[in-house]
Amino acid sequence: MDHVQTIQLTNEYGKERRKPMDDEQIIQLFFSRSEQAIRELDIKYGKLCHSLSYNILNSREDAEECVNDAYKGMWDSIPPTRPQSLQAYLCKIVRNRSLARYHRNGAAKRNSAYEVAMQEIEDILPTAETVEAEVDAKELAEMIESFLERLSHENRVIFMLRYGCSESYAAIAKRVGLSKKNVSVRLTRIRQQLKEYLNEKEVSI
Amino acid sequence: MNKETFSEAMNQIDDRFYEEANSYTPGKKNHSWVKWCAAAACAAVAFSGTAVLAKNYAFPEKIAESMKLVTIGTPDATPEEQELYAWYSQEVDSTLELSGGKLILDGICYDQTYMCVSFQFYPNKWDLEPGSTLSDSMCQSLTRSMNLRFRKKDETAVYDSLGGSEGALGGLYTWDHTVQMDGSAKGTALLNVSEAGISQGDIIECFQENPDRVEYTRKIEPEEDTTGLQVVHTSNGIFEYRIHPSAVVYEFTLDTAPEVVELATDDLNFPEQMEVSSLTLSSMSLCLNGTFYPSDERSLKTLESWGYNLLIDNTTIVMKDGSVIKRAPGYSGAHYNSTPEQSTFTYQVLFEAPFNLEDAEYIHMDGTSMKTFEDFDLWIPIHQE
Repeated sequence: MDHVQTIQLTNEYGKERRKPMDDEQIIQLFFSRSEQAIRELDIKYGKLCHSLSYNILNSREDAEECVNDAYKGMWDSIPPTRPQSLQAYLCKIVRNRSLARYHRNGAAKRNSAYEVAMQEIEDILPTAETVEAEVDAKELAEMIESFLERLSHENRVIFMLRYGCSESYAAIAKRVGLSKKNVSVRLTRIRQQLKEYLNEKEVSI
Repeated sequence: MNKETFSEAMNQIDDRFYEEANSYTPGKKNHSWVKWCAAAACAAVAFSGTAVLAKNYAFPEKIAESMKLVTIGTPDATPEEQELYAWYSQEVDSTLELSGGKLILDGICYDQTYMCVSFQFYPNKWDLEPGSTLSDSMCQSLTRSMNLRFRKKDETAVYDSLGGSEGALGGLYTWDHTVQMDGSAKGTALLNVSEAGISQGDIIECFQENPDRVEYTRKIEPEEDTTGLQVVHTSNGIFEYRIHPSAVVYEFTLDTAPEVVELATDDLNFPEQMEVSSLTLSSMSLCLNGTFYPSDERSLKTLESWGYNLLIDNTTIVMKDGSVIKRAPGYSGAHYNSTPEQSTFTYQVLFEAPFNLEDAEYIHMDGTSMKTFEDFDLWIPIHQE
């Protein structure tokens, strides 16, 4: 299955309106090597993937390519992989591809929600001058997971939408049913809590 | 490369967090939650999980209701007011076991002049009937039984909400006269914090006197550490100290910086008797500092006789859309340090509703019916060049 073909499939079936298929059924299609799997994936998660990629890249063209790359990645990896959560697995691939493109694009094309979100978070990350041990991404991921467990359900969702999915304040506000200002306040406090948490752990990144 | 590591870490965290975020559906928020029927309220209390959720959602409402209680005496607040109060308030999720009952602190809201603490109180001496009305005397009893005071850490000044004991700075409890559906009384402690000048990062202590304390007075040696002791000026003029063993029952750190702007005062046409040194404004209150020079005997006499409520009849905020935010009745006034020649003053105004500073255009002051000085009508632009 080549890249161009995937784009055509997306365009042809992306507007189809019917109840999306269950994740387990879609995974089953992948395992049976049916290209219908890609169509169903796009019907169910296309909008989410495009939004996630666009938030990182700030370019619809680039986002579309990345999403199609991600679909291909899904095709290549399932089987043998059988993801526990199809949605999360797909989002991770989209995010990875989009970030790779983001770094390739260079500074000139960067002005995305992802960039803004990372600048926000950079301000609270401890530096090597203030703490003792430097951690790698895997260790940090475990710490963030532990931190997320401490948050309320709603705050956890807000954090993930902002720093995991790079969504704008306005989009998050719409998703969680709060005002934009309220989301901004919550995120400020969550970042402060994360800062304190990382300082407690005495790590630098 | 901090943010790159963070970004990479976000990519490695467990799938369930992404799934949770992407599949989140908000529960329906009910802004008028206090008007829920008794059954719904009981259900919320019975199922603690639900109660926790309700608490998270209710935080902005509770702060707004508290401020409404102190400014215009009603807990009804609009969604816009809730948002504005939420903007510069902070959740304080704490339950205190006081001698008079259980006290739940909900949140605080502060600026350069005032600090509002929102709470619910479950007295252990009375059973409050849900929905019944509290009389003024009952509210006073509740206030006394709470016996809670505040102070900034490492400051000896006490913010007394009981009103008027020695060494205490201004404060007031305001109660919602309707008993809540869970049998609690809801109220607000409003403290005048301008003298302490509180700001972000400060630690505020809640403490109460020990009900089993042993009181006595004695003279303190000149070099003795008087931390935690209360000064008493006895009738014979000798300073002594009374030991009031007290316990800090809770402390919280102010983590939300209030938005305060300082306005230039050089070109403003205040009455000639007033020399204004600073004018600060937040979304909640105004604070004017300066010196007052009584121009004649009459104005000095007026100043002396009217004490703390003087100077300016009306202080309002005029919004860009033409609407007006009035001052809250009863929470405006000035503190003086007077001599026959001059009087330094701090004039403070708490507004009856919060407003967005960006949307505000003028501070409008006029007066004075007290005839301390000639009538004036002053429009101060908030967004100065």
